[in-house]
Amino acid sequence: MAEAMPQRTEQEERNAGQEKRRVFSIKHNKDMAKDTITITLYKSELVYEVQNKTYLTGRSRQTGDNHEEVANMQANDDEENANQILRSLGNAFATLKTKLSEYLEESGTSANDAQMGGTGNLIVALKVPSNFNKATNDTLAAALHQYLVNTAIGDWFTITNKSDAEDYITLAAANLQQIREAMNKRVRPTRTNPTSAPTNGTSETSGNL
Amino acid sequence: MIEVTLTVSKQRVYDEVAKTTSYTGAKMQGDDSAYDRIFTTDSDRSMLERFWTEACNTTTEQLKRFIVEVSDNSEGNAIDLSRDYVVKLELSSSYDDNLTESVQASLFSFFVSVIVGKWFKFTNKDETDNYIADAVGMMNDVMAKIYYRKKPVRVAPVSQGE
Repeated sequence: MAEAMPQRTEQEERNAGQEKRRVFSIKHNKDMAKDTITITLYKSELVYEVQNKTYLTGRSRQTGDNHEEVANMQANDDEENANQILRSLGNAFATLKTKLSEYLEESGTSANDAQMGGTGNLIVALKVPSNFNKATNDTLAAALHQYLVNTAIGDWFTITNKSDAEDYITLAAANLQQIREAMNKRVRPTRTNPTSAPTNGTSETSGNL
Repeated sequence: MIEVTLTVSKQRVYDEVAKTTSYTGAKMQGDDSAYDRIFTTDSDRSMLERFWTEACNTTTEQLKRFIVEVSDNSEGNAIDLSRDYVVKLELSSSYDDNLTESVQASLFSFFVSVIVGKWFKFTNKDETDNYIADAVGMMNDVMAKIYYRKKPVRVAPVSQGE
């Protein structure tokens, strides 16, 4: 007889729902005094959000006789579109690595300017102090995602829809600020009560006042 | 990218032009000579042929961004009713294939309206502007469908054993 599936609690249901909507994932690793937070940004999610936002922007800018202009705004999987978006995402990711360099440990000794591929993930492994406030992990991952998306859309609209480009570049700058803020959050130190020493006739001095 | 081939039959366009001009001439009141003047007959074919070529050229100009191959529609091929306008287009991967029939129909109407409009410049001036405006509307309709983009589809990422 098959075992009955255990019923999920309300909290578990909520967590499962949140997991579905996430466009990134986070992992923790503790190593001596430093923690490693691994944030995975899915390229498919980044590209989809760029396409969706530019699609919606184009749709809302329709006037009935500006078909070509609207179509140009809407990034899709056509080769020239995909290349531009991937190049922008790659550039934005490189900028992010520079901004976060003090938390990154990479040992490579070579680099090149080849455009990144359209599949796979972007992974950021951040070495943070042990008192880093992990409550900001989600904020951090979301801000990294948004920074990449907003930068790519800013670049895209610089070519196809100048009037909206500046807004996305400003949003990307705000995302960088969020990232900086999240990286600098620390947990308050907690005091551990000292255990009282056994009394054996001698007394321990605690300094003369 | 998606390849789409559009064909406009010259024979069908001329039949439709004849039908429209015949109907317009027959319904015109207070002008006994209207029918003979407006209705296009085979003897008007060489003039219509020029209008056909102009319609082909306008269409090619509008679609040039997407054209992979287009039929030869120079005037040297005049009066050959088997020489249809055929254009092979390479459209965006977000183009909605369901619109192809409608694009084809709008393009056909564009050809008819352009030819009738140009013909009416000689025979029925009062209605010229209406047909030319119709033609512009039809071409706008063709372009609207060709430039239409389907919404992007989200593919949920597969989590990697986390």
